[in-house]
Amino acid sequence: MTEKTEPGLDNVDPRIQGAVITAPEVDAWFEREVLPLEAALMQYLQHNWRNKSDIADLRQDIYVRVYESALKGIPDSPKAFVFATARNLLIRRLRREQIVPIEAVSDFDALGTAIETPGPDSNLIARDELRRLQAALDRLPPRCREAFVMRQVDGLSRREIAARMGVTEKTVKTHLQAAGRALADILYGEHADVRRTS
Amino acid sequence: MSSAGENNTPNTVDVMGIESRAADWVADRRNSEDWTPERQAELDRWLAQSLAHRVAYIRIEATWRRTDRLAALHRPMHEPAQNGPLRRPFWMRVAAVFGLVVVTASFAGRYLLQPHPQLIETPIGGQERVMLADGSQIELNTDTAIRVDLTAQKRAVELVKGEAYFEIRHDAARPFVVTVTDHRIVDLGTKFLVRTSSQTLKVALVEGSARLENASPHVRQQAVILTPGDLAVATADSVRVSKRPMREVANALAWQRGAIALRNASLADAVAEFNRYGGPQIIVADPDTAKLTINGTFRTTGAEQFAGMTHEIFGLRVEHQNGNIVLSR
Repeated sequence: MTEKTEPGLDNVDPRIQGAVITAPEVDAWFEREVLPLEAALMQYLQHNWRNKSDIADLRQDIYVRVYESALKGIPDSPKAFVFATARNLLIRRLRREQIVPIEAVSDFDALGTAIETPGPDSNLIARDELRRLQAALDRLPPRCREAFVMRQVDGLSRREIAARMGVTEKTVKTHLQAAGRALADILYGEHADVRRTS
Repeated sequence: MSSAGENNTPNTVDVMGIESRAADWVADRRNSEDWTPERQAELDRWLAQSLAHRVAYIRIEATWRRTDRLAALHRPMHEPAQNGPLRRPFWMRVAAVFGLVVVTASFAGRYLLQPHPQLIETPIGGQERVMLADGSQIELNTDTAIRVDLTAQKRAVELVKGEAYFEIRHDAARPFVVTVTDHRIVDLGTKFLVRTSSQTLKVALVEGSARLENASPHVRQQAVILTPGDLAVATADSVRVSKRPMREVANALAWQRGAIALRNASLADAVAEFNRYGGPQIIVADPDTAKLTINGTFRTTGAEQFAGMTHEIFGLRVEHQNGNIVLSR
């Protein structure tokens, strides 16, 4: 490129936009806008897909498609976009199986819009969040929880945790890995069950 | 349901396997004593292999970050170390923090409860989040200093240098006032970004409203009320306010997540942004080159990567001289 580039979007080499509007921006958007929809999405998938063992895979597939589209441009309404993506994916899969129950397809729309999603995080709900974290931790297997609490609450390294628990570092690693996955499923995949004391 | 057709879906690779791997990576990266640049490079490669990897990683990392606030339950350091695993005490400690505002600590955070004035500074490349006793929060960007003075009557913060983002709990009885040399920003329940450099002060209003006024006795200047999307640029004797798309305001806050977001920025401005964070300093050799336009989002620590991109896109020559990076045609 030898000619001088003038300011203005049209003159920007498309490679710049394609190549670099990536990681941090989309990652942050995904975390902020898409992950909080997961509980609703899981509910939607469970309603609309008979084979429950496919659901984790469907969710992952939807996330990949949503993320991929966001790289080309962040959608205006994340919720509408996620559910439209989910719906299209389910329809595509049903088609491939050559059995498309019409009522299943029409259900998608009704559900997609009716599902309640939580509002954005705010400090006001910090107390609820803490309770929620606590309840989620409570559901981890005891040794797994122990390791995770030492890591996140007490800031111990893997080595220190291993010493205190009397196990190998590798075991600690396995506990922490399992804790991360289980907590993701609970904190994002399930609706918050917050009982307010009013 | 038959799964006959499932196998040709490109993304139907072993989801559980990817999730476990992502969860391993997150736990590994957070175990800083074993984390090396080599491991980071390995992680970067894994993330680049497929979006499925990336998405799974973001999800688990976000989960861990949510649980970072549990660190608020940690016992003070001077308490005698407890032997053996922790059990009850942890749950009892939950009660102790319920009165406080709990914070997502994406970078170092601290509570500021002391009533006397205090100077808080970040080094070049540093960031810090400060929680005030009233629930307000201030985030300091690189090379920034603020002086905080909280009393029963007033809440006063001086931005001595740099850039800070304020999220203020409104209290009509105790106004929150930010002063920057000659100017005063009085909160009317708000979130805003303030950046000061040698000659100018910039205030970007994110939420709520605030009043910007000139505090110098020598200048008669009308106070302006800022509303969301307003960007005010003030010098010693003038104030200019323009309405910007919220997207642009959000870009100005990209540093909160360790990023620099550039929209139609000149190369000169882009380079100035990178140079604030204390990596290798980038120098643009001639004024013509400095006028090139850049779009994109980068890590604040990504000066090298950025320089490489200017080579790829604009064909600029990238030279390393005395620890600096020189860009030229």
